[in-house]
Amino acid sequence: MTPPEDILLIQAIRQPEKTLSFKLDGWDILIRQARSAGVLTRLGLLLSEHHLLNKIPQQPLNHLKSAIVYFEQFEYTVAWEIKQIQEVLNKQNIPFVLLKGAAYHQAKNKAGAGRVFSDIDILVKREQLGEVEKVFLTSGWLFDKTNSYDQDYYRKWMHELPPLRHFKRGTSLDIHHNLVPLTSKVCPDVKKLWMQAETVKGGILVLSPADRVIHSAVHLFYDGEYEHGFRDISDIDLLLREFSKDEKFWKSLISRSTELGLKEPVCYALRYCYYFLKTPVPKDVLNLVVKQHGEIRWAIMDFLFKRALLPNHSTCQDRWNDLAIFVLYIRGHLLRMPLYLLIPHLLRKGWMRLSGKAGH
Amino acid sequence: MPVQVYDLSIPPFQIRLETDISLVSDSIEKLYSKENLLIGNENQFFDFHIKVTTPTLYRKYFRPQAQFFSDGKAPFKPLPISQAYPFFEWGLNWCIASYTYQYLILHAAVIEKNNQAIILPGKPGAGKSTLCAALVCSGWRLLSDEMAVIDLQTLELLPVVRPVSLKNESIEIISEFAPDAEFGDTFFDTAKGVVSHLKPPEESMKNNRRRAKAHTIIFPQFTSQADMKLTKKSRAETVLELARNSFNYSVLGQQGFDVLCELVTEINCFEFEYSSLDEAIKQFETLIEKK
Amino acid sequence: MAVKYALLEGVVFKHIDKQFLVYSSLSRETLVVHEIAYKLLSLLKIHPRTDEELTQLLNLEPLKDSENHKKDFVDLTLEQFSRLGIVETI
Repeated sequence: MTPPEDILLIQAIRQPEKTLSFKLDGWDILIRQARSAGVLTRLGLLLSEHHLLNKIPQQPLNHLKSAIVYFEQFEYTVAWEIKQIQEVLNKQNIPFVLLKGAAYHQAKNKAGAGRVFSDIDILVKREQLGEVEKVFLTSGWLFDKTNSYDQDYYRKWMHELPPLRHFKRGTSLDIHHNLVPLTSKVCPDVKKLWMQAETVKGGILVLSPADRVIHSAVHLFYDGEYEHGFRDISDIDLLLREFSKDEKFWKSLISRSTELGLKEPVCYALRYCYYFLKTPVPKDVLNLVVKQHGEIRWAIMDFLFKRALLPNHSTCQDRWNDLAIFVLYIRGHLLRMPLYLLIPHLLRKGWMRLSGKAGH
Repeated sequence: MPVQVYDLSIPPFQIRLETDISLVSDSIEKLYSKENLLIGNENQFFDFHIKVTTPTLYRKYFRPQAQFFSDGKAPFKPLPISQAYPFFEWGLNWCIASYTYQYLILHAAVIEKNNQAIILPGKPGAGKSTLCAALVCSGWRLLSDEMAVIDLQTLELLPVVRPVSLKNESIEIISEFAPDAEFGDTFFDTAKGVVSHLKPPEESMKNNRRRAKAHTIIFPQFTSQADMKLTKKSRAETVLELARNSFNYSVLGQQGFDVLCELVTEINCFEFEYSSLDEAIKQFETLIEKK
Repeated sequence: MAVKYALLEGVVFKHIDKQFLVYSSLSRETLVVHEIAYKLLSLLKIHPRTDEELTQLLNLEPLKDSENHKKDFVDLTLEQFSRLGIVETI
């Protein structure tokens, strides 16, 4: 397994000045690792912050500049999209909370700088789902997945309506009523999330800082999708660094995660953030995290996550990577659905893929 | 065939191409020059890592296919192996369009003579590639048959000298027009019909880093048996149409708008209808003499 | 208090020869607009205004049933510009 210190991208993020010693072939690998991991813009902005851009050779610099240019327009696109969503929901007095990447953008979190994403995620109240669906469908949005199995799957078992797409702008909208599916082993009391939601720029609600971290941790460690695992751990690292400027944050994060029944994913987040990015998690908090599992369980989880969360590029993987990702994929599903639902679901999905009927 | 690796210099890009398909390596060796080959030290930066290979062992022998990979990712469905070389060129267009936002890139041909460049934005089917090829075979310098690459600060046009892609009747037209022109293999049954590539003339190759200043923008339209007509086009309308005919205008946002507006200021913009290549070329020569 | 209109962030407009172009970074629309619309944007660039103020300042040519037509034109333009990410109400 590749130790994180050996990976150029991780070196560059932990200590940007190290890039001064990179030669062209090193940059060749770094740019590709960053792009595959989905953090190329983030890297560019980080280097810019450290006044290192003008010391980078022209060829790799072109790619970093290119990513930054893309992001500058992307921010306008996101702002416009959020505005449209807000207008539609405000008209009907339907409250909503902005989640994930869109929330980092709106709250001007460090994690939002350079962060691109393809959908906007919002949280609405479960009782209002019907109303919300109607309001969007009559304002230019359409469902992306139209077969009845997928519709059922999303509504009944997942925690969201099927994804919506705007007919003209082509933008994607995911509507949730909780952070995890109802069938999950641990489902937080969503009312608690609403109670601590904060208002940020534009009068938009986002989750409280601790809840933003918790949501990101749950999404990463329970969903089973690791294509952007490294970027997600980098998000959490940036959120933690920003919020822990208040010393009380660590304690409140642990107690809040316990309150919501989501202590485990947060422990994983803290452990692996420290492992990959040397996030300044206090020693006593790390010790608390270790107590979450026994040695053997940690050995297994480390085997899996220390691989799955590496940048998704051929230069970072070893021969166990595919296995680790597969195991976590199954685990993700098991966490979301009991076995008696999961097996028919996977069988059906498998059949749909083979017969070419799956949408992706 | 074992995997061949080509380290190519196609200014302003450097590309590593790996392929195990002989149709691709044959075409590369025919259509690119030794100036395009990067030799020597290991310490290189490549803008794109491209692989054009058979996707699976199965597909090597049964209805053989070719797949295009950009740094390990396959953005397209595989194509029949007979189209492997055009697949490389189209895939490379995609890479450039997707990852190059430090320049504004228009869908247009660019040619130059007497230090004056003419941008030919391309409506599909308007004949821009044929016209471009004819000009290039008549002493005009090729910057590109496909993309006008514009520096956002200086508004200069950068050459991206690559084989000129010609389709269907154009292949014969240019073969007759310029019997000395060097062509690559002909590929049949592609989505665009019959495709072949013209090797860029030596002069264009030698100057493949020399930037040019835009002198005129001409929207060409080939219409069989039509009288030749050069009509002035409003600059504002030109901006709109260029924005529509761009690979990355929407990503560049305000900067793209500013650059296009500045580009059209002080240069002339025309619609050009023609039916004879010889006449068209004469008209173009007159245009650049005026300055 | 009457509603005021303001130019949105990321909007640029240019005058080229006898025509007028507008670009919105939010909606990513590039448009050719009428001279009066261009003047309207130039006014908003200085500071936000109500539609009444804009109608007055634009000094439009009187038309049949003149007062209403002038104001309708301004309102219509403002409505379109709102949809296109060019202006907003504040």
